[in-house]
Amino acid sequence: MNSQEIIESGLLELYALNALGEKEKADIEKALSQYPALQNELRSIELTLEKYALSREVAAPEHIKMNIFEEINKTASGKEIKSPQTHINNTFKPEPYARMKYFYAAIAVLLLTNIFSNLFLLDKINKKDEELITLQKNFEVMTEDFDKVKQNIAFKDNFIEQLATGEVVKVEMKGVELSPDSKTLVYWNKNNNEVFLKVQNLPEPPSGKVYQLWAIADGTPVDAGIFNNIEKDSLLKMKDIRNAQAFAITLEPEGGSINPTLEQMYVIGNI
Amino acid sequence: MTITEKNIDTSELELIAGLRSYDQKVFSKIYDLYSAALYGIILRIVDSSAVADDVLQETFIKVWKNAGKYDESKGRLFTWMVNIARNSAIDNTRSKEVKHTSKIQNTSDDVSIMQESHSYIVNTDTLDMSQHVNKLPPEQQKLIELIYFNGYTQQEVSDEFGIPLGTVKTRVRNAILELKKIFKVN
Repeated sequence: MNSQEIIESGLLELYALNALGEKEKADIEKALSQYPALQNELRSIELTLEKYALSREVAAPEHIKMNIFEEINKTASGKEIKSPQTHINNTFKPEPYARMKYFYAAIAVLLLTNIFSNLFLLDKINKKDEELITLQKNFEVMTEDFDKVKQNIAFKDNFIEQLATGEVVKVEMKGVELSPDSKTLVYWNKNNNEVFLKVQNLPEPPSGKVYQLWAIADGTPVDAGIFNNIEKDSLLKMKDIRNAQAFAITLEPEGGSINPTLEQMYVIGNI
Repeated sequence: MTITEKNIDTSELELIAGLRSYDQKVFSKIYDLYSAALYGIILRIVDSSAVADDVLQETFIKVWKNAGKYDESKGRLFTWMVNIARNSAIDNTRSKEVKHTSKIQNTSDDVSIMQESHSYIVNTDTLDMSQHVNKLPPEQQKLIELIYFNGYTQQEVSDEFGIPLGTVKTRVRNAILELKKIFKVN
């Protein structure tokens, strides 16, 4: 293929989207190094996609940038643990043996003591290092746990706050013929589209099956997420929904379905 | 003037040079320029913003650590970063691990990804983006969404839509030609 044929083939577009197989990708990279015209074309495709992505940007929470810089600074400086230095004084001048032998003996004893005590200290320091590492690990585990608790609280707080604003629609979903006793609630925030599901009574799903929540908008069911946690009163965050006149739950094969299995509908509720 | 210089603007060259020399000021600039766009993409792949936060952080740390592997003859810096972000996001979705709470469900196979992207298109009216991108015929928009945001390969798209590989190429090309007009790229 010459460069014009490549441009017209659509291969450059797929290359920029990282959607080519290994061989085609390698072919394009080779061609790129041969034909300057291809590079021009690729840049303009990439710029287009870049503008597309930039037009859909969402500001990330501010703490992320800080975390990243903390992390790269940690790896940049490296955590080196300095080993203790042993200072051994051996700068005495040699003197005639006869006169100096007691002196030499004393020095030798001192040196040996020094070496042993340094070895002892070194061992102690190593042990302390190990203890420190264990403590650090414990601390990390605890911090993680704490973060989980914090996130859980934030999740609940967020939910309560949404309830308080009064923009949340509560939808009671009642059991149908298949399971008349079943009951669930959906809290749908019309303002930010968030959907929370509260399970009140649903039978244990058989293995290999999951429940799937659907929002029905203008007669079309839209997937609102799958779940298998049927613990009473658990609060689940589902997918965001923009438009709905009703919500329903069906039993679906693991992974969920594209369209609901209507014979397996457990609950439904209109808004 | 070499080809590279002609095609990459000076600021991009500066960013690349700074990244390669591990200049934290430049890295900060790259973050400010691109984090929101990457975050937007990541959010469309993963189910919760907590996972998206992790993925964004992971992405920038990978960019920093792998700065030496970036090769500008193979594409723009942003393209490279998107690939890293997309792969990290997909890994985090498919591993089915939602770290923070077991009560938040994570739907994560291809079917739900497909469905999610579909419902996204239906639900989109955020920002001024809709005014631009909704000019794109829905079929083309869905195609770009699946590939750009969900990391579908050409082969997967071909299987999904039941169309030959060649047709995938043509449709993607037409979709991007449309986008070029919308965004006025030459």
